[in-house]
Amino acid sequence: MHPAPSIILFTVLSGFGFGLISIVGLLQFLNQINEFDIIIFSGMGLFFSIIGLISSFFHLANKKNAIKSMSQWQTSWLSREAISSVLCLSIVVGNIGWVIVQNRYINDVGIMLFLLSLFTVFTTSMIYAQLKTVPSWNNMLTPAIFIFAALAGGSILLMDYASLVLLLIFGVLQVLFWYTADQSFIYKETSVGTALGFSKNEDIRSFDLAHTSRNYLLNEMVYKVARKHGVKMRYISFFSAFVLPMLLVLMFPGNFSVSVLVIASHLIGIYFSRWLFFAEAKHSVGFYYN
Amino acid sequence: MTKLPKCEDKKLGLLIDLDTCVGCHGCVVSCKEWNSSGGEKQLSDLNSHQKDPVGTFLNRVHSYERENSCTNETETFYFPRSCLHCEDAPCVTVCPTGASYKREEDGIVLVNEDDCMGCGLCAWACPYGARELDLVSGVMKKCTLCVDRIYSEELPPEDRVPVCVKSCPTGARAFGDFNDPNSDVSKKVKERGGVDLMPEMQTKPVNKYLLPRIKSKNSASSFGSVVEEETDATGLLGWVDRALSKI
Amino acid sequence: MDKKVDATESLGKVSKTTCYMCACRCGIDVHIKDNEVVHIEGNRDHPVNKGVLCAKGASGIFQHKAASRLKKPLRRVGERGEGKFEEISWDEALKIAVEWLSPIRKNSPEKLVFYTGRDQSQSFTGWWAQKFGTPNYAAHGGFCSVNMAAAGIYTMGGSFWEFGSPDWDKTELMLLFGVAEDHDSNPIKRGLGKLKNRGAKVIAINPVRTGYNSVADQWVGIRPGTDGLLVLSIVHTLLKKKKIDLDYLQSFTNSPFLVSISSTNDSKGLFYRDKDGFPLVIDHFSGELKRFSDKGVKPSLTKSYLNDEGTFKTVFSLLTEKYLDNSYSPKSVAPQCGLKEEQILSLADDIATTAFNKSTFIEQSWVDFRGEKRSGFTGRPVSFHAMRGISAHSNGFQTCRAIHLLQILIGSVDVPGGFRYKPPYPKPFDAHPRPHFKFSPDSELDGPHLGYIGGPEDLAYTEDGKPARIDKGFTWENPMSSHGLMHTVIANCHSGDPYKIDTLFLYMANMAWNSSMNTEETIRKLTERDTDSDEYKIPRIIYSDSYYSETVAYADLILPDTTYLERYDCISLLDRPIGEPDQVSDAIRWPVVQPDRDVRSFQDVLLQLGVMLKLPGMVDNNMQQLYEDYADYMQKHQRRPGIGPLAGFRGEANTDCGRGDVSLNQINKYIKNGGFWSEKIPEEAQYYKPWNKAYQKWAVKMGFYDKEEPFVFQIYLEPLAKLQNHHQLPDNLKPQKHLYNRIEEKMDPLPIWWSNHDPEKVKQYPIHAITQRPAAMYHSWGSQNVWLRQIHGSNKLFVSEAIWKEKNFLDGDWARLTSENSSIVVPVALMKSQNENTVWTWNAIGKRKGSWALDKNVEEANEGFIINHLISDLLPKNDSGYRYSNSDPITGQAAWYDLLVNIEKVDNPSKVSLPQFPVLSSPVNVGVDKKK
Repeated sequence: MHPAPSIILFTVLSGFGFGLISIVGLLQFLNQINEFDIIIFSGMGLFFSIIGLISSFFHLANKKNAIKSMSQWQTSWLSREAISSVLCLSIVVGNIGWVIVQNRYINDVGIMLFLLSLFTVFTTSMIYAQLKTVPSWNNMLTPAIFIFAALAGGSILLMDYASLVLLLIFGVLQVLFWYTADQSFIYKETSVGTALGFSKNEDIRSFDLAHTSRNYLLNEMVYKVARKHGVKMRYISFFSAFVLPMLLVLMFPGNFSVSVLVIASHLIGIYFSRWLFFAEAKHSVGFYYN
Repeated sequence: MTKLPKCEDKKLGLLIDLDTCVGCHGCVVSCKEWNSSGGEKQLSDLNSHQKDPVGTFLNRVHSYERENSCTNETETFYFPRSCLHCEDAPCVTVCPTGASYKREEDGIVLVNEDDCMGCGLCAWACPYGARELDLVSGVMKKCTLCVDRIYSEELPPEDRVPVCVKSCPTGARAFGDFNDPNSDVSKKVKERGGVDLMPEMQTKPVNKYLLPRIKSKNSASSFGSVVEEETDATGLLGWVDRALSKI
Repeated sequence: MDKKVDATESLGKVSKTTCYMCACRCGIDVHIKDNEVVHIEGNRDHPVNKGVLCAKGASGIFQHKAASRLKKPLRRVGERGEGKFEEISWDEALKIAVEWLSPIRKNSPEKLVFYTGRDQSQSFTGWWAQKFGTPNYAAHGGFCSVNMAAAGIYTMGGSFWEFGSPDWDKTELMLLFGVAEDHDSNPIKRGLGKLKNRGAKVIAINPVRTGYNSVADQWVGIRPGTDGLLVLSIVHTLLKKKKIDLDYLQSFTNSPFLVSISSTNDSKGLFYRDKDGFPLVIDHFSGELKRFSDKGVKPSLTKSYLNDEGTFKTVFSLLTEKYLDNSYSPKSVAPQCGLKEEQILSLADDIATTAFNKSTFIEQSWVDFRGEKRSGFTGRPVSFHAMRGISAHSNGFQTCRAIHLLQILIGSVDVPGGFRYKPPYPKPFDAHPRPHFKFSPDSELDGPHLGYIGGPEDLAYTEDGKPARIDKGFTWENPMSSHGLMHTVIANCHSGDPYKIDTLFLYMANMAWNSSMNTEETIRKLTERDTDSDEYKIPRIIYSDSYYSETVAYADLILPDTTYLERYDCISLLDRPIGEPDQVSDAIRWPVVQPDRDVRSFQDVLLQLGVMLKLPGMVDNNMQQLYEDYADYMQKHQRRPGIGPLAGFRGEANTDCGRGDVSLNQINKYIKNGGFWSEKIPEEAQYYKPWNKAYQKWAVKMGFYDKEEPFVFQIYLEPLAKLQNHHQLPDNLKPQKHLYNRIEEKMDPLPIWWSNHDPEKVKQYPIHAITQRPAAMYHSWGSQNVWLRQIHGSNKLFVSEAIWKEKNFLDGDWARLTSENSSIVVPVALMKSQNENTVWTWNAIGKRKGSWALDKNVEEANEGFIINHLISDLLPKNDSGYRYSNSDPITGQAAWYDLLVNIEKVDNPSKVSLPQFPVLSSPVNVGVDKKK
């Protein structure tokens, strides 16, 4: 799949934003946070989520109809995400307003935010996980890495050792995801044979192009990343999203300025991870262009 | 509505015969022609006279080589690819705006361009690459089964078929109701064994394909071999003489 | 989308005309709204396409609106080949043309060389050239498919494509030889669809398995250029197995004719005739000599005849002796063709089994040429079609004759299930004109240029023994060059051989690029100057085209033509007719929209020039203009009384067809009828047409010929024997000595096969390189088409698996391809299903930078390539130092597919194919994106 910067930024930033919101919400529910931090960190979460959403907005080819995306919640994960994110962010705004005006917070709103923001991340992940056409996405590891990336990212500024646990879970999931995506069984059912109506094990190859010029399908869904290049990117991603943050958190626990560095490193790593998430994903339409 | 209807009445679709298709691209271009003709319909093209021309097509024809394990020959065949109007169309259910929908009355999958926001998710959800985002209008384009032809009251009745079917020079494409067991397409599917593409995707395509028939192997003939002494010129002329006397 | 379910109302009104995106000439419905073409679809009623349309036809709008369209007459201002022009008015352009042409006409009309490329009005352009008085006229047939036309007409009075087609509804077995998209594309596709539907068997003989060959039930991946040998081996097998149609051979062919075999005789190789010139046969029952056509004669196929004039054997005996020879046995032939013995046997078996075990009989009484009543039509449901793969080899004429021989041996020509003529064919070669070439100052030529020779007496030499035509057509070098040799014209004009010329006038032929052999050399010849005078060696070039092709840049004066939707044309029975086996048809084009540029239809311009030059036929005795324009000509012109360019809707009431008075309402009638006219052949006349009294009568009534012309099939082609027998000719008619061997070897009156290659050359260049036309492109035209260039914007060289492995090619690799002539560097791709000694590519995808209104960085001009550079227009020197043109020695057909190459892997980091040429300046702008 084409690693579109707008989509990658969207999932990275809104994931981080909603991650922050969820952690703030959790701490708010558990009474483990002060009013000022709620305002600051919810505000930050709000900011990143909105930047992410704006970025995704730029991915739309016909932006004037974006508002209509809230209409199909019954079947569409993208619609659910739109509704859920708007709802969640509205509550965040309300919560911040309430805290500013009242200078106190309601614990139960915290749990609501916690659940709703994670649900939003979940809906985002389900946009990809639902696609049978992309087998490496089409499993529960996709929501798992999205959610734990969000939680880990969100926790770095607000938690110490808990964030280490979340990072660790994320790191394990990430490796698992890559491992699974590499397994050929993931594409076991579909082949150029089934794509063309024959049986699975046919020896069929395209000898002449359907069109010598590129097109939307090729640009969007038949992205090819060199294997060697991909492995290098995985190391960078893993180191930057997981190893370095772990080390820094262990070495400088509770150091806020280091946390900012950790966040930066983590987000860069997640960016690479998401780039690979798209770039390495193989869409079934590719079989027609084998 | 992106909820899939139960199309109990009609299931309109195409039957494509890979045994007959010669890969001429006639359907590809006729489709583009009809779907950019008249009114506001456009399938755009960019870089039309430059490097990297790129345009929207609703139908494309691929060329393949296949190793036939029965005959040990490499065969070639052509494969037109367009929307299959699936019963369980994933492109419809993923649509957030409701632009994608499947018609209850005949099962045609369409895009209401007035509602489409151009997110491209439906194209991702389609296993077959049947949808292309138009780079100029920013909305998703796909085969409409020429819904603006098949119900036309202006066109003569015999032309009320998708334009790819009308234009196909070899007649490799047929149009009809797959819900009606007595339709020509249903009968052909039964007779020749129509197949689904990627059945494992569980999309239940309406369109069916007929695979290339088994080619005859270049086998030894009943002639056996031609032996030198079999017939020489004199022998043949003698036979001819006798035969002519009988005519 | 479905808010407005009916889109047709927005499509405007329909005008029905004829497509020109290739030479198929399908009927099209053009939708026009606000004087703009908005949609094109196939015309369901049209006899050629019945509503279907190919990729080219369906994208006709982009041909019509192409950015590369020329907009105004142009005069060259830079050097030839730079592409620098100034726009001039039509008055000025015509004035210049007349200034150039008028003195030529007056003093030496042969100094005008007029060749018309992919012209669909040849009966008109030829007539114009005839009236001008130059012998130098032809269209592109000589480099296209003259081998098919000539072999067909000579052998059986009709050929594949325009003159006949398989009986799609009844054939049970069809063999396709060397057929890609070229020629009759939609009718063949429709026909193949019918065969598939009925489950009839299709066998494809072709080095490459694409297109039609890929849907064939059986594919025979033959080595290029060996089809003739394969066919004669099938003939050998059928003779051995006694699977031939004796009744047919005896009744309808010259196989019972008696041929003189005495080697000392002046009439060696000729038929034994009575004093009135009628060929004699021996009656099988009485043993007496009789005229073949006498009533009651049952000619013997076998009996020889001996008298004091010599010994005579029947054609049938000769052919038996020849083809039963072991050199034609499948066993000895198979390796040469790159096939297995069993493949040949199985082909012969299939043909025999289908022809004789599945034969049919249609009850329908009819009367044959002897006046004998027959009760019906015997069907032999085996049909054949052959095209460029046969035609474009230097053994193509004889190969095509071999295919016809096979058809005739099994009795499958013009019978149910076999090959059927399309009227106005059949028409035997001797009912066609002879070539005419006698020119003199200030007068018209003595007759039509192109035709069929009957013997050496018809060859085109001037009184001083020089070739009369600039292309050396109808000379001993290529005596049966019935379509001329356009591919030799530029070289001969350049070298002044056989004489110097003044003006080269070309129409619609991309001779500076993909329509020439040895493009680089052709370009040199177009631009070279004489060292003394500093004049161009080809002093003046006038060119007419609608588009900015590579060739425009090499002309001095450009006459911009209209597009096909802006013009009148007639698809005439006098020309290359359309029509189907059961009906005769012709058609028109008419301006369904008006040009938005200052352009004129070429035919209109020719008539204007004709008036200005006061050419007979275009002005009357008082020098008054006879035809206002081409449309007027189409209605008013008469070739023979009552016979005009259009056969339908003649006479005052527009009710006559074939023959009839001129009507000024004729074109209107065509337009109302959908742009065409058709008339069904009577049932009794549907088959066995060459010998069928009812057909002959109908043909005379329709004006195809003026008297009945029954004929026999020329299994043995006597005109070739006359050429072979050149020793007895008077000295002034004899060929040059260096041609003796070639004439004796190649001009065998019975079909033969020879290898096109010298074995030494094969060692150095072991690989055949050929091209195919893609179904979606028509030669160079497709690249200016926004849609088609997305499908075929660049090409690769398809390499067989054997070569691929030997050279260790990988995807994305480049190769250098070297021939005796030149070398090119091109991208390669693997294709397994092709002959292992063969590489091939799509034809005419590569473009010169700057042409066709394309940006100079387009794929067509960078990766895209043509293999024309590799093909020499001349063969290597023979023993006497002479270089023949790279053509069939009999017809002069350009031997494109004789090309041999070697191949090596090369590094090409630039990813640009070689050779490259300087960028052309352009009088048209690079196209911009816009809505349709």
